[in-house]
Amino acid sequence: MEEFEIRYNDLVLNVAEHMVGNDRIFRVLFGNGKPALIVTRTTAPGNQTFWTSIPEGRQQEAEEIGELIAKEIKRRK
Amino acid sequence: MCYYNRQKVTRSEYIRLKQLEKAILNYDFLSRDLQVGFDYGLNAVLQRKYGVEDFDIVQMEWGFIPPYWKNREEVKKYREGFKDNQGKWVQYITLNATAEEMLLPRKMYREAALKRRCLVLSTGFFEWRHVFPPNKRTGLPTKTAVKYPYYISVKGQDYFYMAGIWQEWTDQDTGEIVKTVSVVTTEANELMTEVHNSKKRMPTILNEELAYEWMFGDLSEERITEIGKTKFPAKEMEACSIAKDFREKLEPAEPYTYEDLPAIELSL
Repeated sequence: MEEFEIRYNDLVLNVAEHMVGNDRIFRVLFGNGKPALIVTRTTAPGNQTFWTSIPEGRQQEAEEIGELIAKEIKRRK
Repeated sequence: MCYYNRQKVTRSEYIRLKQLEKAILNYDFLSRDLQVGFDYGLNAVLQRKYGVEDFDIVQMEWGFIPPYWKNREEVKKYREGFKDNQGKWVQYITLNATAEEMLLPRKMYREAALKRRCLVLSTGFFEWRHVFPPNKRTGLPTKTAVKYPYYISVKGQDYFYMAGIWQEWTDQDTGEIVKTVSVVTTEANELMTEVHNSKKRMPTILNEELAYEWMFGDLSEERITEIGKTKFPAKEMEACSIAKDFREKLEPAEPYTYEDLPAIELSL
């Protein structure tokens, strides 16, 4: 399990990467009592990929935080 | 068209995300590490409803556990292997059941193959191709293979069916009940002979007609073996090389070209 931190709206979020079966997910902890957010990459028709929350209901956060996760992963390589 | 989080997604993605929801409910985030390779994780499986021609989509642990393994400790021991009293190495990799052998007497898969056949949903799978580059000095093939990962899928299909057999297992220490599954394998077709060239095996992929028969049919042992040995046509499959660090990538199945990797040549 890999863990790292990202900055989001003046908060430092703790992100942990997991494999659930064959699926790669990221669990985001806010540290302020807000429920953890779980995000993953998914595919739209036409093979365009985007971030989404699991379960449904937090799409905007998933897209914003997902992009920050992607940037952090690229930065760490 | 399917929608998840009010966003359009493909049908296969919708199924995957809904399955992921269920898996996460039972996921212990505190103790599980990042898993790769032989992960014995959860897979989406079509399981026949008892007595009717209908099925549920359920999650099963990939890696068949026979009922006589007593607890998780014993499961771990058999999966990871150990030396027995005579110093002989004992290990059971139960991710796959060999179609040609699963019905043989005393095989752990026999009863499941007779009574509990299922379909494992897949969007694609990974295998390694072994290439022996020429030695720079002698020109002869080197003895150590360079391994290149490939992603294999079925052309034009978001997902497809692999033949499976399942077993419910109870941990005799904790009472935990889990459904476990093994994917049936067969001799490789022309494409998989080139890709999975170390073992020349492939999962048994079934078209819709055979998938229906596999799950609902009242089959003789000969027919079970016959369907289990189905070699899905190579011309209906595609394989592309992917990055060696695909496990760490956001899109593990993204094609990756290697300059030193000879192309797969098929005469189909």
